[in-house]
Amino acid sequence: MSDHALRFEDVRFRYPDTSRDALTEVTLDIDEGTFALAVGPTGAGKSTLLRASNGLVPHFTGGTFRGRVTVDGRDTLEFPPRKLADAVAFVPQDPGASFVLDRVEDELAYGMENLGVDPAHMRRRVEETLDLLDIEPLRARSVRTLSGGERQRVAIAAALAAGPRILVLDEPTSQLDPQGAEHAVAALQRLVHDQGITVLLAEHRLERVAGFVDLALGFSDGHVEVGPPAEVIRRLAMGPPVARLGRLAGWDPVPLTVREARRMGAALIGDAGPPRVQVATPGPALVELRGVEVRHGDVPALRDIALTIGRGEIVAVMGRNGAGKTTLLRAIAGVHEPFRGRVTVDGHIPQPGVDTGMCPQEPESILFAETVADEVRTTLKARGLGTGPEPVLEALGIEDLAGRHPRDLSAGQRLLVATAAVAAGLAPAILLDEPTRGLDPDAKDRLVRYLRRHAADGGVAMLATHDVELAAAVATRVVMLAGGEVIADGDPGVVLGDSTVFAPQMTRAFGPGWLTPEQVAEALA
Amino acid sequence: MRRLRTLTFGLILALPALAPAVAGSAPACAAEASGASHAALVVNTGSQTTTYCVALDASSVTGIHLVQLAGSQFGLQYQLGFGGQAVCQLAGVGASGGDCFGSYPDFWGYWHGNGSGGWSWAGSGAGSASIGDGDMEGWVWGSGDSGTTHAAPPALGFNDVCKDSTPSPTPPPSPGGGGDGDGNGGGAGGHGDGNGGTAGGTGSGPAGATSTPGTDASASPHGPSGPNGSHGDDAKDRSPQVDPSTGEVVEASPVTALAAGVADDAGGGPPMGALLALVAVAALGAGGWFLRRRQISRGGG
Amino acid sequence: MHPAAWLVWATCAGLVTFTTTDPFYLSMIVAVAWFVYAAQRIPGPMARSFRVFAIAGLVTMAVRTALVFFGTVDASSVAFAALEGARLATLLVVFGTFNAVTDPFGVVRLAPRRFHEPALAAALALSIAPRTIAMVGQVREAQRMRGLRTAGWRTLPALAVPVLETGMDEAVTLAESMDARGHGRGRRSRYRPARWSTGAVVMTVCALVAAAVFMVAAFTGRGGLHPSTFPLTWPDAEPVLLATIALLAVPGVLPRQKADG
Repeated sequence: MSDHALRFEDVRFRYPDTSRDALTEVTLDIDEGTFALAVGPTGAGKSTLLRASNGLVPHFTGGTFRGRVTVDGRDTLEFPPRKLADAVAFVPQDPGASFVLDRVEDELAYGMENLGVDPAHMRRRVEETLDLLDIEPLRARSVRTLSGGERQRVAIAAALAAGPRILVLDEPTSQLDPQGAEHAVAALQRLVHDQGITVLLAEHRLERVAGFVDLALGFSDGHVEVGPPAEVIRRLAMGPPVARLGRLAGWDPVPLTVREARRMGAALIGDAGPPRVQVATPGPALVELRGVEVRHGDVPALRDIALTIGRGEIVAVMGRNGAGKTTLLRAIAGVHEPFRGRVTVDGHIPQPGVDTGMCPQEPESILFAETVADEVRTTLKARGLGTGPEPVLEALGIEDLAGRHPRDLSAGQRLLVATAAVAAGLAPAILLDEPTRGLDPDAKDRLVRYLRRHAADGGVAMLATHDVELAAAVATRVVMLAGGEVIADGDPGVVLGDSTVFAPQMTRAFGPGWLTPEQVAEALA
Repeated sequence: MRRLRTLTFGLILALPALAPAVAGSAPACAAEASGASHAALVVNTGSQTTTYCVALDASSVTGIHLVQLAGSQFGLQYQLGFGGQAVCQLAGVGASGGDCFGSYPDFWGYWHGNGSGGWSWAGSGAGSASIGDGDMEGWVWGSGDSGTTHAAPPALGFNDVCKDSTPSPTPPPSPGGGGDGDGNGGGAGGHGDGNGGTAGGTGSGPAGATSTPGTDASASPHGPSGPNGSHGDDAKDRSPQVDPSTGEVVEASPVTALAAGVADDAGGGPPMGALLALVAVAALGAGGWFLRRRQISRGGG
Repeated sequence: MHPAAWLVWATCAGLVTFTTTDPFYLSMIVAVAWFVYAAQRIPGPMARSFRVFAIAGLVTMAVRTALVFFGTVDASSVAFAALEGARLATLLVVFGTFNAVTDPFGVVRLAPRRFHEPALAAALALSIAPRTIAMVGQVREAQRMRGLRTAGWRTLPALAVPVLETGMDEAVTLAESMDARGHGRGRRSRYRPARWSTGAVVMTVCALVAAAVFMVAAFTGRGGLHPSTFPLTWPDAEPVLLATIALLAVPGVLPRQKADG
């Protein structure tokens, strides 16, 4: 029985029909009881490595594999995934598609059934896991009726219930709101500390996990660098906002948690308050809601909404999962008629695609063309616009992807393509529904740039999101929803500063009003 | 919107029940054999003769299958024996338990008719007989081991049993066979007698078969009334039936058969079964609708 | 309820349907199926099952009736075909109810070990249909929000491609997940095998009785199970048999099954 839970020895892997190695000369050891983080831009090999840890690579994917991966003492070339199922469990990026059975409870038991665990033991573990992930009320529900956040928690629970010693998760918090994410990460940490389980997860939202992990795997182009989180993150030039601040301010070591950042920076900031942010006065009203009530069937999802959004505003619509963010956007888009009240865009009832363009939560729902450029052209044609796709592609920073097949791209790139396809319609109000899955820092930057430009050109951008840092970085206004009602609406510094759950790292470290590392770094300079 | 749909659905379900009520007493019975092939079946239990114009479901069927068809089309009760190759019971008369000679010397005698009133004793079992369109079969309960000793069915022609649609009184034809004067004019029974009913009876053959039609052959003396009953008043039925008391041939309408075989029989009241079905369907539909409403208002799926 | 109880119920209801073409009895069976569906359906992807199969049934009936027009057309033959069609439609409706009141995977568990794999495949296939239908709606709306109409042949790719490709991706993810969780590993155990509640026993017995009565009626040729169409006569219904069909409605008056079966 080795100490190493996971060991890679000079592993090289290439997917079938590709020209580049997905993993190159990867050698690493992860000890038992380690909380490890895989970090790096999308497409750099994180998902591949995760799948190599349970044998899916190469048994399920095919391809050329060299080197050796040992999981809990077993060689993955000798042991196919199902033979490793008792040792390692995997939670994929899209949890909804990985459910086998119908009821939550049964889904949790599925892995154990396969392992032939005896029924009494199964029952106990199911109960424990339901409590651990706080999903006991969902036990008898059909998995198909769950929300995105609930699904993610159930997927994690299903992996855990089987009692593996190694847990591998691919972006496990992408669909969870800050509370849910905190809960999930805390549960994982407890498993590591109390039970000695080894956890390896890939994540973009580093602010949620960076402070908890023992080890980081930094990916770039198929190469992996292993080391203490602070170092790897610093070298990769990515990381949570506090790390970015550290880099900008030249701190060494770079802080990974709010606490560290406070320790390093509070003295420097002193009593200086946050700079008065010049919030440009919004232009003429474009989107108006008066007394709007929206229902799902007989159940009200939004109540008594009154909002006026002027040209040039970038609005972040935030709130817990299920608060009504998506419903609000759909009502503004013109696809969900309000039960009561009026929604107007540019003075009239919004026509989807003309007055508003909305990018759905799953960008794959609209991609169907052979190339990225064709995708944009389709919208242009449908709207009777004579221009070529280049301006839109440039606006989203994806002109170099023009000839690629949309489905070959990474999740973040696909999101940008979908946004381009929507933006091409030249609707003044652009709406984005939870653009969080697979959004690596690079894609996030391009998106932010696009949104700013769109607003500057006189448009309105609205994002439903629970990514606090994204909101802090780009929003000119934050509308907070809870239980279908607006509970806060205004300046991001104020609204986010006021909230304990939705406060960005800068706010937590230095107080309300501080939103972005760039702001703080400037103040320190 | 949802309630409207549910209500509509409930109504659709109830429609088949409503329809007969709506149609009322219109002569509803379709008449023709047009296109479909038929064979005539005559059953004499010793006290009563019933005839059936049986629609065939193939170009030729066995004698056993003809009995089964009569069972499903007219409710003729039957029981088979000897591995389904022989007839033990018809219309409640006969041996039970699968041994068709259990009541020996009485058993069901099997005859083939020539279509004009003549009959010949069947040489082989009903399981191997081949019956096609226009053929005639007869079964008589009694004793006698051959065609000379066993009772024969009444002398009826094919057209006596399988009439065409024109309502006409159907006096059984004269023993000479063939019906002349049969099948013209008025409805069978009910309308009285048409052409003075001559002929009738078999005359030949001992015992059993009585005949003599008589002018007041009433149609369906046993028929229940109601839409079905009034139906019996019209010509449409094909099969003359012999009334035991008067020896008259009496129509076997599906209705009479039903009445005979089935327990309930109002004999002159509303169609109980149909009304009951309508009420039950409506009740279930409404019940389901209320349940759905309750679930929806509770926010359930 | 124990999935086996529902299986017995559906089989018995099917048998009863099979024995008769009397429209009153068939209507009664449909009404019973509706009632049981309304009372016991499980919220989830199969919840709309009744409606789907009812429509399928009506279509079947229409098609069966239309087939008559290839031969002799008269009231009798049309009625005959319509009644046959009605019987088929009723069978479909019964299945629709069955689908909505059971968890397909619960039924899969009943399969003996040898048949576990094909049964699971069947249940998974069954679960794909509602998901795909839901996805079509999603894609249609998503395309609309970008200004693309998806009606008509020209725009079919805009609807079909995302649905099919996403469906494929999901199928691969599912397969991956099953593999990684040890599917096909060998000896399996069963989590919480369903228990027989009193209600389940009662409804099973009632269903069996109903089927038995109708089988007897069919064999003895009694009860007017097949109203005559040649010559065309108005059908009737025997109250005893109507009451027998009502036995199949028993699940509808039992306490609502909790989703955990």
